[in-house]
Amino acid sequence: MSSPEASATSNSGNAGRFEHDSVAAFAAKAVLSAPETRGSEALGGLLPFLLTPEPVVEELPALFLPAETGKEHVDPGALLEVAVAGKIAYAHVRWLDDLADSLDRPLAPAGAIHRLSETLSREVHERFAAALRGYDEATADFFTSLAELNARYATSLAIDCAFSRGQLLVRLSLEDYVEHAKSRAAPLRTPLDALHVLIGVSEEEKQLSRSCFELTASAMQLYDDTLDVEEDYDDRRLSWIVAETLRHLGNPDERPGADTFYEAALLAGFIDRNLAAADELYAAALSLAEGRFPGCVEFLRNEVRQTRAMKEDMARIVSSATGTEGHPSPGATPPNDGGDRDGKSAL
Amino acid sequence: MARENANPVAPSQERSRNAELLRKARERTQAELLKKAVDMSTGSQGASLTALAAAVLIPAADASGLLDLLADATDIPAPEAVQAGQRRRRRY
Repeated sequence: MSSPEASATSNSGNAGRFEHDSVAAFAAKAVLSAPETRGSEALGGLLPFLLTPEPVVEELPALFLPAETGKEHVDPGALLEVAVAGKIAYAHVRWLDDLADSLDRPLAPAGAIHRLSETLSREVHERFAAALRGYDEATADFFTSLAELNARYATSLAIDCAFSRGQLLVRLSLEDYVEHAKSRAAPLRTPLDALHVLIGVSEEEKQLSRSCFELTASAMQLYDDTLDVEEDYDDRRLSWIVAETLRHLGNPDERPGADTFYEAALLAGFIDRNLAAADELYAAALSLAEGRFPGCVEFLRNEVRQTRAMKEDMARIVSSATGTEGHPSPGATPPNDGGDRDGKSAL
Repeated sequence: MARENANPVAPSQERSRNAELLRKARERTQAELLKKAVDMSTGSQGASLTALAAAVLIPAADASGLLDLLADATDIPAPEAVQAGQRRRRRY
């Protein structure tokens, strides 16, 4: 991502923000207070993700409170523990993502990375265990689910690393990539699962809210992929747009220049298709949230608006360049998405 | 000659048109990245959600010791670490 100047300028005095961001502050305190953290050679890599305020992450459990659940029925202390655990889990995942994405940067010693990772896992487990004390069977199910989510995430890291090393994927359908994107964010769902234990929900409600979360997470990933497409290509990171544009160009041994690559991504319709998929995923998440999870609705409506505006603007730019203004873009449907669901929904 | 007549757009015109395409697409993308960076630094992305969360979460965290802890654990000043985080936002 390449817009540091604005955030740096508008971010002055950020240290004071922690007075207001209770979840972020508690999470940072928890990690920094752990004896194993002090002096860790790996800590510098983690801090950006631990200290950066992320309102949607920090408020996640509250956002998914069902419409019919009164706030008075939720133990605020337990909910805070869940939110803090979620923030630490988020920083952990983002830090590991960054390690995997930055293969050309010097790494901290592997031992230091493992020890810090174990510390983060322990902090997360202890907080979830404290929040869910007394819900014996449901808590056991929660930790089983947590292990499964971490396994999904580990698999996504392995796929990303293989692509970064230059291994070509046999094919990458949009449907497959959406599943991959959901796995990238899998552990971030844990605060939601913990909320389900605290408030007690039916299996159907549980699946609906999990679907809403995963649709949102994958939509965010696809949308960001559009913005980061050139950076991802340059850094050899896996995204559907990068993989399919390269395939469209014949997966040449000598990598095409930046302009050739971006032009193909635009004119062959991969940018358009990617934004259409993000829009579709957001819209599906919104339809699940409306009437069920009121805390998510406004956020999702904003994301839908933003995605559609971006898609329309990019389509207009392509149309004006190809002389097809007022007509459907010739690149709107890529020749092949590499999978077996051409022309079908990404869901 | 016949080929040129069949394609009314000369190669130089096409190159120029595609350069314009790339410029406009990059400008639009940069504008979106800038907007996201500002949203993150101001918290406006979640501003509409804060009221709901504040009603549920304990709002008054004691953050007074945080910076001391940070200073003990690392020599990286908090504001710089936060800014670095906003640059490294590959996965939302």
